[in-house]
Amino acid sequence: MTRCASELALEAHLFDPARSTVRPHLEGCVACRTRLSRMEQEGEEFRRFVHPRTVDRVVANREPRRPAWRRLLVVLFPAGGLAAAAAVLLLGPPQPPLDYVGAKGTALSLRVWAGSADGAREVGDGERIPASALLRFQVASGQPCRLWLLSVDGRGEVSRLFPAQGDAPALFTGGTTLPGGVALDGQAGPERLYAVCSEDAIPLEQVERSIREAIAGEAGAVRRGPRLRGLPAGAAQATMLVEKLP
Amino acid sequence: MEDPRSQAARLYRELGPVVYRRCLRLLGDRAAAEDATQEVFVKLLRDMDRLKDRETVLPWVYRVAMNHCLNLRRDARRRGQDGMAEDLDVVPDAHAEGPDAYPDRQLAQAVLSRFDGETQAVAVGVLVDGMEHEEIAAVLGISRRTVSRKLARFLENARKFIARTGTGEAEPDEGAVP
Repeated sequence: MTRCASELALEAHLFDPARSTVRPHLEGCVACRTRLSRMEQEGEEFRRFVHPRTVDRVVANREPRRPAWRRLLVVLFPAGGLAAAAAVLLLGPPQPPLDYVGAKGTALSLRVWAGSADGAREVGDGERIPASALLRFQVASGQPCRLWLLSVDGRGEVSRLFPAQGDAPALFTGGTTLPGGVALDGQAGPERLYAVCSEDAIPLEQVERSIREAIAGEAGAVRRGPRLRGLPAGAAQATMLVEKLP
Repeated sequence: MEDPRSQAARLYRELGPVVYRRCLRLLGDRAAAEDATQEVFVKLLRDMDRLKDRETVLPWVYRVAMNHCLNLRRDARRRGQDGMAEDLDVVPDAHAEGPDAYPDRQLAQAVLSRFDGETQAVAVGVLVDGMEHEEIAAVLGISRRTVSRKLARFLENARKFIARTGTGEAEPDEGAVP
């Protein structure tokens, strides 16, 4: 008797019976036929009851919902006023001190650069910058890891900054200036940046949730910058605050 | 030519059952599975091209649904709703070798929600869904070696946990969520 089919193999059988690889096994395995029968019943339950009462809502919500004001605009570089910033960064901005990066593990550093008429300048933690400033980011890690960069503002709105698209964090090695950048939303107040890097891919939702939980229920938490909890062991994190001035 | 809205509705009808079954299996509650199915499918519909690719869509849908529902289980555990985190059904016949192949399945369920998302997905894929290491590796986009390593770590920590309980707490370890 061959090995019993996994759930995914049975799903593939239901999805495209003509290409099923488990049919021979099913013919001789009562247990798998029973599982398949139950799956068919659940599928029918979905089609008869769940789909009709939920399809309109699902289809209507398929476009990402954005706030009326767009908080942070991910832009490509070099572009507009940030061309100078990009040039400065590409020509070799100061590197994070070597002793900041652990020889072992995923110690992480985050540096922020703001574009201005005079070129790019590094922004210090907690520094006040124009609310519509254009920012780029430099990240360094002690070992290859998968990176998310997000931010949260004083109202608790979490924004995804890098990578700007896709459902997986970006594989990242050493120290680098991240491609692209953001234009701040023009709204005055604190904006805290969180970089999270781990050996294994952390779902975006998990990082977003950790940020929301970290700042929940405490006025001023965004400025204080609590450490994120609920991330996988070994995940490195770095954070920085900027104060947006009107 | 099919308009986008009709196309989305058709894809939901065709692939919704995959998501619904996954959520029902992981959440063990029909209402919760229905809610989760909608949430998952809204995410999936944002990448319509990928959703239409019949060659690759199934493992992707399976993975997104699994990750979403495992996250819900973890959230429920944090809120103290431990019932949801303890009720996974094992698939006793998923391996021809029978329970000897993975004698730790029940044990695995008891500690599942203590681990990070990817480790949970590996444990569920192998120990609950009966997937081959290669199969779950392909679904998650990781190497077979990583699957083996995560599974070994998971089982080792699960055994430690069981050795200390029913009353104790597992010591934090690599892969375990504090």
